Amino acid sequence: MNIIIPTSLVIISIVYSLIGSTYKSDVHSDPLGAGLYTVFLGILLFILSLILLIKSYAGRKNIISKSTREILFDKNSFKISIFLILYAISIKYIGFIICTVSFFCVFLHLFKIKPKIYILYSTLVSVTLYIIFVFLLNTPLSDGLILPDTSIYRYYMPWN
Amino acid sequence: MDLFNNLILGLSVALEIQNIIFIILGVLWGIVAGAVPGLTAAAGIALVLPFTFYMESVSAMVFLAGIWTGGMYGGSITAILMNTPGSIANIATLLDGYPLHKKGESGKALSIALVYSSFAGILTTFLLILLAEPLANYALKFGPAEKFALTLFGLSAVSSIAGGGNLIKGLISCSLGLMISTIGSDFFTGEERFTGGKDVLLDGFNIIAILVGLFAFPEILKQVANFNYSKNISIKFNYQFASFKEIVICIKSGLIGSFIGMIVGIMPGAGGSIASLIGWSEAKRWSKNKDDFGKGTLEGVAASESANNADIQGALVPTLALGIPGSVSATLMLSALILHGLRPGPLLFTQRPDVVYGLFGGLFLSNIFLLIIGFFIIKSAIKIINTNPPFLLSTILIIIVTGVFKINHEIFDIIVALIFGFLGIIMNKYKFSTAALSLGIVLGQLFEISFRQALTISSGDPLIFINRPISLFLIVLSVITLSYPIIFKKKK
Repeated sequence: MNIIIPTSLVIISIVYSLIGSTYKSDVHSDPLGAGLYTVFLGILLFILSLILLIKSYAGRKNIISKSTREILFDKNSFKISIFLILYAISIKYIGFIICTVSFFCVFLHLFKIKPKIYILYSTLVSVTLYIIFVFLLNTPLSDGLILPDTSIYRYYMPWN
Repeated sequence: MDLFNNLILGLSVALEIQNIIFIILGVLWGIVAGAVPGLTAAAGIALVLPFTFYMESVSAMVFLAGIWTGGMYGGSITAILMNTPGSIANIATLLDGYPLHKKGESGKALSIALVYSSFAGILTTFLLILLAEPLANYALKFGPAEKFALTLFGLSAVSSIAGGGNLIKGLISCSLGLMISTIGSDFFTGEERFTGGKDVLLDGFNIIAILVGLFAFPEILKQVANFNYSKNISIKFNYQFASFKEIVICIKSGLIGSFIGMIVGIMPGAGGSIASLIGWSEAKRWSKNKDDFGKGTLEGVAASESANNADIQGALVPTLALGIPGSVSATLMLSALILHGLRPGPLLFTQRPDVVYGLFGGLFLSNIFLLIIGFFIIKSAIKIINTNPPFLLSTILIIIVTGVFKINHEIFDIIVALIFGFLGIIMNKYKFSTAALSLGIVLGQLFEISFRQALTISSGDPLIFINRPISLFLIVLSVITLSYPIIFKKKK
C-alpha cells in the first residue's frame, strides 16, 4: 500500500504549523493574528491527512494504488515537462524566438513529425507569435542575448 | 420593468463593437476548446485568462462568457460523434447523441444540441437578471460573521461534492488551497508569511499562473500521454438538420432541462455534469416516450444540452451576488473579476452596472451568436479535432506559457504554473479535487479576513458565528452539506 501522499501531507501540515506558529498572534486587538490562523489551518490539514493515512495504511480503501513512477507521465509527457521548465528558464537569456523554435522542434520530433515539416512549422509559428505579441499587442518578449533589441522598432509602429 | 431596463443596459454595453468581436471570438474558441476531447470549457477559459488582464473589464467578462457558452456546446460535438464527451458536463448528451449518430442522424442530434443550448442560455439569462440583484441586495445585511459563514458554506459544498465522492480528499484539497492563500503579506499586520524572504511572493502566488497550471497543463499533458500514433481520427457524419417539427417536439425536454440546469447551477459545487444528468433523467420521467431515452432520441439530447448550458447562468447567480462560485468555470470568472479590481456583491451592481449587466447582455448575445455561428462552424470544428494533435497541443502550450509570462514578465510565474500543473496531475490521478483547491485559493483571503474581522468585533468570542441568525443558518447548512455524503454512504 502506497502511503507516500498521505505521509507527505502530514509532513507538510507539521512544517506549515511550525512555521505558522512563529508569526505574531493577538496583535492590535486581532485575537488570531497572522500566526494563529495558519496554525489552525495546519492542524486541520494534519487531522485530515492523518485520517487519510490511517485509512490507506489499514487498507480499508485502496486510496493510492499505483506506483509513483506511474503517476505522472508517460515518456513523452515527462520529456515535454522537463523541456518546458528549461524553456521557462532559458527564455530570458536565449530569447523568445530561439527558445520557442527549439521547443516546437523537440515537441514535434517526439511525435515523429518529419524534420522538414517541424522546422518550417516551428519557425513560422514562433515568428508569427513574436510579431503578434511584440508588435501588435505591444508586449515585450525577451529578445535574449543573441538577437538585437527590438524595442527601437516597436517605438516606430504607427499604433504605439 | 427592471428586467427590461437592465437587459437594455446590458445589451447596450455588450453591443459595443469591441465587445461583439470578443463575444464572437469567445464563442468560436469555446466551441473549439469544448470540442477537443480533454480540453473542457474551463480549460478553454483558463488558457485565455492571462490575456484578459489587458482587456477592459466588460470586454474580458463577455469574452469569457462567450467561451463558457461555446465550450458547453462544443463538448456535445464529440459526445455525439465520438461517444466521448468534450467535457464531463456533456456526459448525458452521449446517452442519446451517440445512438443517433449510429442511426445516421448525427446532423439532427448536433442541431438539436445547438438549438437547445442556445434556447436554455437565453431563457436562463432572464432568470439570472431577475435573481442576481435581489440576492446581492440581500447580501448587504451581511457582516464579517455572515461572510465567513457564507464562504464556509461555499467551500464545504464544493469539498463535499468535488472530492470524487471522498469527503476527506475534498477537504484536504480545500485546506491546501486555504493554506496557499496565506502566502504573502498579512493584510492586517503586514507581516510576511511563508515568503522565504522573496519579494516576488509578497503578494502571494499569481492567481492566473495557478489556475492555468491547475486546469490547462494537466489536460494538455494528458492529451500528450494519450496520443495514439497509429490512430487517425476521421469523423464523417450526415449533415441533415432537425426539422422545425422535431425542434418543437423537444421543447418540453428543453424547458425541463433549462430549469433544472439553472437550479443545480445555483448550488455551489454541483456543476454541469450533475445538471445534465438530472435534466436528462427528469425529462425522461416526464416524457411520453420515456422508453426511447438512452436509445437515441432527440428529446434526450435537448434535455441534457439545455441543462448544462442553463447551469452557466445558475452558477453565475451566487458568483456575482455573493462572490461564491459554484463551479470551476465560475471560479475562473470570479478570478477574472478580482483581477480587474472588482469584488462581487451588492456594490458591484451599483458601482459597476456596466460590468454586471454588460456580462448579462454578453451572455444573451453569446447564445444568439452560438446559434448562428454553431451552424456554420460545426464542420470546421470537426476539422480542428481531426488536426494532427501535436501541432495543436504544442501551439497551445507556447501560447499559455507566453500568456503567463506576459502578466508580470516574470519567469517565476511560468515556474509556478508548471509546479501547479504537476500538482494538478497528481491530484487528478489520486482523485483529489482541483476545483476545491482552486476555490480555497480564490476564496482564501475573504475567508481569513471575515473570520478574523468577526473575532476582532467580538473580542475573540467565537459565539458571534452562532448568535447571528444568518450566520448560524449558513453554518448549519455547511454541517449538513459535509455530513450528507457520510450519511448517504452509510445508508447506501
